Amino acid sequence: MRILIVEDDPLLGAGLRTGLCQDGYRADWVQSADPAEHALRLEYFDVLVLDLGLPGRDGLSLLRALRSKGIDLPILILTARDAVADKVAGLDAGADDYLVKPVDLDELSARIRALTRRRDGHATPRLLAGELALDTVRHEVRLGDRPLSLSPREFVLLETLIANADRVVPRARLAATAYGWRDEIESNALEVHIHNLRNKLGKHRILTVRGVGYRLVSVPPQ
Amino acid sequence: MSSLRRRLLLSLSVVWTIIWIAVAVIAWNRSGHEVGELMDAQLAQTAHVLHQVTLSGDLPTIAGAPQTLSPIGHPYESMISFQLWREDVLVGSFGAAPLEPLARQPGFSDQTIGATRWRVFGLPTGRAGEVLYVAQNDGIRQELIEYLTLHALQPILWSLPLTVLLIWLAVTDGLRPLRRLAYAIGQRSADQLAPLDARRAPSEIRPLIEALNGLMHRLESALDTERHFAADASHELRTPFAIIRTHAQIARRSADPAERAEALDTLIRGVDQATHLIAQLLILSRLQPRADGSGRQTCSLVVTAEQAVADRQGAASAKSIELVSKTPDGEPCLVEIAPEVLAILVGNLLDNAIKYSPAGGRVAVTVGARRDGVLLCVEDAGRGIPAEDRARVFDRFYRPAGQSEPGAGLGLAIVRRICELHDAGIELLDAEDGPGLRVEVRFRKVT
Repeated sequence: MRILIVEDDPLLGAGLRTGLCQDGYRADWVQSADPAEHALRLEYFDVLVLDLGLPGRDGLSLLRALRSKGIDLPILILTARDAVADKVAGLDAGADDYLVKPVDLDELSARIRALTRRRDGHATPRLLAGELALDTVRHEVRLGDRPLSLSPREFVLLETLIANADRVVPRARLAATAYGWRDEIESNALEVHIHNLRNKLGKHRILTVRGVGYRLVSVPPQ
Repeated sequence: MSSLRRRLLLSLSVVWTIIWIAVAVIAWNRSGHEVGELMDAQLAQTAHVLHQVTLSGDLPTIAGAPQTLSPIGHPYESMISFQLWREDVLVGSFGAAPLEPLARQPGFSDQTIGATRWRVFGLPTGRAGEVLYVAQNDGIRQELIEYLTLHALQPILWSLPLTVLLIWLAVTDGLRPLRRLAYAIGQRSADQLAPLDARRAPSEIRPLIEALNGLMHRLESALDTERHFAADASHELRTPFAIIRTHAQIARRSADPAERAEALDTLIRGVDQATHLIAQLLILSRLQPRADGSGRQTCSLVVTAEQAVADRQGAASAKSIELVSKTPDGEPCLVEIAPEVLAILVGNLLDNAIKYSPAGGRVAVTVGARRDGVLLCVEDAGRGIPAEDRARVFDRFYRPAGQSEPGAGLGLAIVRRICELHDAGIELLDAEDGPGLRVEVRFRKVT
């Protein structure tokens, strides 16, 4: 899962990025509103973690600008402003969650998972596609009764594919989910990971939609 | 305890008594005069009647001992007497008249014969050597005067208790606005510092109310500063605490020693950041005006600036910044600020200049005496501040866009507060050469 953090404080921004990466997310970090808007326009992110008190353009105005442009990714506000009026203003401007600093990294991760789960239309952290089950909290994957061992990047890719089971996931989004700006991506890295996943899940679970992306089928043809 | 009511009552009573005594004296004199006139006229009239009687030759008893009074009459008759003298011979007398002459000259006179004072009117009868004296005992006059005066003044004397009571009531009523004020203040809780309504108060109490309102305004602003401090501290400390918490968690989770060490280092920097923030907030909240003007101190801007530059040479050279100071020789450039406060002002400007100047840049501090005071000038090699941001950078926690240097956003707010409190002017200008910022602070001449 790919997360964009907007936080002006360099120590906190770096800390959040490191902490979220420890939890298996791909996290990227910018320090003000304009680069954030630029990044969101060019690339795919699953969740935006937004500070309100930014130098120059305020976080709230960025939030309104994003929503008015129809950008509907889940947005979590993480700010020092603890007044009820600020929370109401933030949520009413289109934020999906509001956290006041300082925040526990585990709670931040859990809330990010909850946001993406809801976005994908799931109520529980267990994603199911036929016999395939993925637990986003425990980082476990089972095929029937058999547990599968996946690398962190394979897990992230499979999570995105299961969350969108039987639909085509664009290649760019999958790449964005698996790689942050700091990761070095070889041109065929995504294909390598998909290849490994196919080896573990079975050949016909993941179909290639040529020129578009990949699709995970919940009931593979026998 | 001094009582306003007692003082008013006492002074009013004293004044009232003095007036009463004065009135009594004047009344005594007046009635004395009037009674005297009336009785003198009576004496003269009696003398003329007796004269007519003596002319007709019907003068009663001649010579001999004074006659006893007739039982039909009035005891006061003894107070009136007459004598008829002819060539030093007492021809006739009446009443309580003594045997020696009542007077020696005609007209009105006062005589004392024996123990009795007489008012005498002498009337020559026209016959040779014959004088008629009519006299009245002076005691009766005094009695009459006393009687008249006292009877006139008695009702006024009796009204004294009533007057005291009325004064008491009037004073009590007059002091009611004070009691209302005391009640209004007594009802207030510690945080009710709205001004008292002075419009309905009497003009004597208004200065008191206005003075109280002034005090409450000062209290309010002092409380405001305290509240701001608490609010700012609790709000602004959230970010450093978030840094500390996040990096503590990263260190606890991480299995990678390098990542752990880095997280712990950052954690310590977060603690430093919080400490710095608290220190700056405390400085800001402690910068209070001294209302009584006490503790005025002067110090040398040259000494403070050179010390500040010396203290920051390490930080400057760590960033390869050339930090120089230009101060006039033999001129201390005295300013009226406590040295530690001036050090904060110069230090904050220098810290900003070093922080926002790129490596290899130059920061110059200039001190100079001007005709109307002392000028401090700090010039850096940074990007400067756009004109539209220059007013706002003095606001607390304001941090202009496009900067990544850590900071609480309080440095310039503190500088401005110091300038406000010491009547110094501060201006942000473009650097004379290059894109940097030039900060000019003008201190008033020490008087």
